[in-house]
Amino acid sequence: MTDLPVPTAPPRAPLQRRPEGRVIAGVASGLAAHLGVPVAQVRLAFLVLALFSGAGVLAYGALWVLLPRAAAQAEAAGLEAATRSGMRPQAEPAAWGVDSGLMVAGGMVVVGLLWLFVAGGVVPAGLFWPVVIGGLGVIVIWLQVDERVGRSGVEPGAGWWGRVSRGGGNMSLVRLVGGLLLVGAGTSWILATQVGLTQLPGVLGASGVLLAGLVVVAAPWLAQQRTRVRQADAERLRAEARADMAAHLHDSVLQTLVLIQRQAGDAQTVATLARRQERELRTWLYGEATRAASLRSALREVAADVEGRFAVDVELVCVGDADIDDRVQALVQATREAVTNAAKHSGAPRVDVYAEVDDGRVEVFVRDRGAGFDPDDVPEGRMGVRESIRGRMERYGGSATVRSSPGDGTEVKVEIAL
Amino acid sequence: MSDEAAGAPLRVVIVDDHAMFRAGVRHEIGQRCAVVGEGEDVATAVAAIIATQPDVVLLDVHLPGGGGAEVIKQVLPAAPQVKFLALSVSDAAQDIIGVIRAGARGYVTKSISSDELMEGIARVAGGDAVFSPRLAGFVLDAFSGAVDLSGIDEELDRLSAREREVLKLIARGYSYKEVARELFISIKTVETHVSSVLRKLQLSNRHQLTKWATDRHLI
Repeated sequence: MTDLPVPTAPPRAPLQRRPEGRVIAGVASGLAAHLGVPVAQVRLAFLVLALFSGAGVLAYGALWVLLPRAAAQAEAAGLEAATRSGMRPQAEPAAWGVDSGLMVAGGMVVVGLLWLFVAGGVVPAGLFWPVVIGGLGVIVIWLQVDERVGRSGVEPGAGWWGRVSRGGGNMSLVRLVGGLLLVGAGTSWILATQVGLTQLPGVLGASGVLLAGLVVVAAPWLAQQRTRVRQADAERLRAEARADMAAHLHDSVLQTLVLIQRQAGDAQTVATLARRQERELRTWLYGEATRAASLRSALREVAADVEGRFAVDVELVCVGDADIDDRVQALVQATREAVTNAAKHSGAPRVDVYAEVDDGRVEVFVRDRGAGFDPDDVPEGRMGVRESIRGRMERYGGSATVRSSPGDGTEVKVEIAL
Repeated sequence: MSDEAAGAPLRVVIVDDHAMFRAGVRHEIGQRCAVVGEGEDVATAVAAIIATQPDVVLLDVHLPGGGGAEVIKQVLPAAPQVKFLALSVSDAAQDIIGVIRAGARGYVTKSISSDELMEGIARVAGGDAVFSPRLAGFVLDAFSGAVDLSGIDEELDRLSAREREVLKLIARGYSYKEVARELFISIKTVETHVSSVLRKLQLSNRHQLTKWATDRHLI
């Protein structure tokens, strides 16, 4: 016996952001894991660097944008499918909603640093507030870069901050407009102090024309990107749906195999289990898509139901199809009784069901090669089922006939006009 | 009713991409006929069939390399006397009709009992057709309706009343013998009707058949 190889951790973690250990975006903890140093030291380094003309802040921002987010550990297909369908506890509870206080604190630190530079003469005094406002706008717009943003919506419990900072769709539009307003306000302020208030409309107008030109030039490219992203998204959803379905089936096969092992001594139960599983798999792999409420799918349900309850094969053949109405429903009910009856009393291993829709009428034949009986010699008690099938059909203007002789099986025919 | 007793055992090739299934069938019928070869995809199947020239090939409908129909297309020009019996878990009507139209002489499901399978092999070897209830249903479906469309009332494009009757009984689960008794005709006549339906299925070029097959999965 050799042991399976145990996967070992790579000697050095790849350079990526680690959202699970983050204070802001997981840059520091990712860097720390990559360099193999305590995360506190990295954070301190960023803070110290921030004191030098804000280099730390810039570096952090750049890394935030550039480093990919650590992908969730790849799991077995079944586990991933179970996670997606919400059948497992979530591994990583979202922590964004609670740290708005932290954001405010961080913002105040940045503002304080800037103030420091202004006081130290690094930045001209007139530029301070415009830069703060413009910078905020830039941050708001760049939030879009974080992969957490805009993906598959926000958890229902998220507050307004969670929605605004991470929501997709309308919220990313809100972010964009808000950010642009802030940036616009900041730049306008700077322009106003540098070139004077009177020149402002002209300069803004010229910038506006320039921007509009850029948008026109870039529009095809933007549109293309948008389509591509949408296609990729749709593809991902499709792939996930397929994987979920496959996982569900494999899961049920697994259950059946376990049951078969436990019931191995009972041949009949094993056969029933195997048959039910076979039907399910076969329908998924090769089955035709039938309308939800059609004669065909109703009869298929009947067959599956009887196979599940008795140790028989129900061989169903349908020619044509019809919508379910009251009359067809009655026919399906009568068929169910006939099939159940054949499975219960005939002793035959197989029941054939044939349904044909033709010329405005439906005929269903239920046939077994079992014990059979003499129709002239039926004890009073056995009349019940035959009468209930016949009575049901006659109430809807249909008919039912039973053909049987001892040792030659039974055939029940039910028919109705559509 | 079977040619089994007439001398040497029938020589059979089993074609299926699942080794476990081939082994199972070989085990079931190995006593009563000679399994002379196996194939697991189109290429190996064609090679095995050409090399052994069997009486009957048990052919899976879905097969790597183009499916069972492809095997028939490649074998028939070289060995026209080989008979094919399609065997499948697939219920996809268009694939089954496809393999019949390629030249298979019958279709049975894999859940068939060994007795019935042996009977089917013998029947196919004798040049007759083997219709399971399901195949009979497909054919009735394919040929139903649209018969009164003008312009396509060729002999090949419709089933005779008797053929419909026979197919309906088969679809209801009757064996050939029971059909014969029910209609007061001989088993030979039943076989003639079924073979005639098979010929129509293979030769009819009425577009309804193709249309029916393509419509199938849209219903």
